[in-house]
Amino acid sequence: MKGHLQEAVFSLLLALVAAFLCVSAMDIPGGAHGSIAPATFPSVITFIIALLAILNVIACILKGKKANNLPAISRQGFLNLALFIVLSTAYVWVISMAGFLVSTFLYLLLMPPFICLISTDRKGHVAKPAFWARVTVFALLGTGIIYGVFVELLKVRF
Amino acid sequence: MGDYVEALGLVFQWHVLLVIGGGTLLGLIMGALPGLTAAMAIALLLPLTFGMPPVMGMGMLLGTLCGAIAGGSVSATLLNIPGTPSSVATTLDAFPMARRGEAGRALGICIVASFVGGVFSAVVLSLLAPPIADFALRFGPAEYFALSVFGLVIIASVSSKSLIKGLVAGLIGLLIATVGTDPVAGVQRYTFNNLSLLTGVNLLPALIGLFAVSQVLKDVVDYFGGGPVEHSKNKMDHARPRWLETLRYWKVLLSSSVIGTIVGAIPGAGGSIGSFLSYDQAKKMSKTPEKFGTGHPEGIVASESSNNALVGGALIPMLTLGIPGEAATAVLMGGLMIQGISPGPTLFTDNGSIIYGIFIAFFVANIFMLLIQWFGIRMFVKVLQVPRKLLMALILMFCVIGVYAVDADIFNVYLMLGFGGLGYFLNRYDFGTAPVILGLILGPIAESNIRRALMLSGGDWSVLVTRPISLVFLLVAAAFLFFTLWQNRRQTTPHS
Repeated sequence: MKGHLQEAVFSLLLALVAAFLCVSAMDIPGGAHGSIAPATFPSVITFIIALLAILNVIACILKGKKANNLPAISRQGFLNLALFIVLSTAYVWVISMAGFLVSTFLYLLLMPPFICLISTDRKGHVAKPAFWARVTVFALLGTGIIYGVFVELLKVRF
Repeated sequence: MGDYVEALGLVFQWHVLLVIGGGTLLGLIMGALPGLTAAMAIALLLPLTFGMPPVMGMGMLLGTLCGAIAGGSVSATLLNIPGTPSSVATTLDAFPMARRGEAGRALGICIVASFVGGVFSAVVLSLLAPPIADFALRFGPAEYFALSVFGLVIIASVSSKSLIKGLVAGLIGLLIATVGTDPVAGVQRYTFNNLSLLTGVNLLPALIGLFAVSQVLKDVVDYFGGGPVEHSKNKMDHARPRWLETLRYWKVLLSSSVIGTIVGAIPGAGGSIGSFLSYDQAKKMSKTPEKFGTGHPEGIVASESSNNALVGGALIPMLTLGIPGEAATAVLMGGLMIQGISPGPTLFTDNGSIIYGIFIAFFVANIFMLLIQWFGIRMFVKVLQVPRKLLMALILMFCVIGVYAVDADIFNVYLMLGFGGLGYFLNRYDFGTAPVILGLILGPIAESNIRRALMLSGGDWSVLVTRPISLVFLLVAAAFLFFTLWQNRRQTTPHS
């Protein structure tokens, strides 16, 4: 899918979410009491967002590449993005399950090989034992320093 | 005067100075790395300021801002890649000078010009902000609503090439600001029975998500091609401040500092506009305009003094009116609000020592910026060799820990990731993230003040146009909106 069409899809999604929230705003209780009701501001804002987003969809389709000459995000790009978000979300989930030390060590151990695997010039590094030794030291040191600063110094409770 | 004396005591403590210096150092490092913006640097360091007193925390963030803007000149000079958007004009002459084998000379001029620009704007800030705040004390609810509309319209108009996209981004911010318990009626809006959303969307996950996580995601997609890390081929000669050479161009230094401060004070104008305007002005004033673009010191002086003067200028509307002019000051304002301090005219009357402490801290940050660059410029050159791809992993980790550190609510961390995804797509399709943050900050101000204004006027909407200051703000906002619309149409018309 070309760049301007991807933008049209994104704008359409924005319009749909705004339309849903506009309808949801009708359920917000409370009267105006001489001013404006609690539902007024969200209703007006979501209505305008939906309207402007639809206008942008039309502009993207009519103007084509003139509206947005960006190269489209490739399938691989989307896959990398999705994988990165999954890894990051998993890190957050593991923090809530196993605490800071384990999750951060695992994150720092797994993220560099992941980044190497998605970049064409560093793929070969992952197969080398020296790479894993460096990454393990990096993960241990990184976890220790961050633990020292945030948990011991700044008293953040994980 | 008493406030100033008290403020001096708040700043000149060894641990406060150390923190300001540390913030400046980190800002310089982040600014030197291409793609890490000043707003991102401040957002990343924001969680560290929670336990600090306001002057100390703001001093650190101001140091980060000054450092990031000045640090942008390192990669602009050595790699021809501006570290921050405000260093774009610096590349025009600093890089050609570096290619001649005079990278140290170019950086030496950058150091002095940045310092002079920063100090100039600090002086203007401390002289102009109090009378502006004094005037703003006359503002009532109608004026505040009009001012919020004015700020939002301007930033939505200038932050994107398309007015529609800028407005959508600003309105998304306003919409997010409505989440939580309604402050007047006490009813819940868009909370979806989530306890973490009862008090509204926390500003920090939004700031870090939109400015830092979105950049990491951009790198993940962009680096799929896997280009090698860029290293400078330019050799460094002695990089020390070139005082005499820079001060020789005192007219350029002065005019660019003035332009930078004025442009900074105009909401939405941004750093690259200020430095290009100054560069253009310096070229017109110069006796040797043909040398511009070939590695001419005057060009470097103009760009660097202007982009650092912009910082002080941008603080004027933020501190006096509570209207941040661009992304970095919006994040800075978020930092103040997280500490429980609302920027605006009352800040000057209620917390005089804090506000003057911030002025002094800004001045001190500029001195640190000079000293750190003076003795450590070679270190920032080394920073350019850090593998960017591994840096992404570390940045994301700091984002997660920073947001979690606030109230140990894991929901806010997921929220930050969500904002990161939203920010990535908003940036990619040129909607911009600065209007979202501005909307998020101005939303509650706009809504609560329009409600108060209508209550006071008995539901009469004409209060917005019968009060002169409110009318002026609304008229200027409308004029700006139509001007941008006209400009957009002109750009899309084939004849123009």
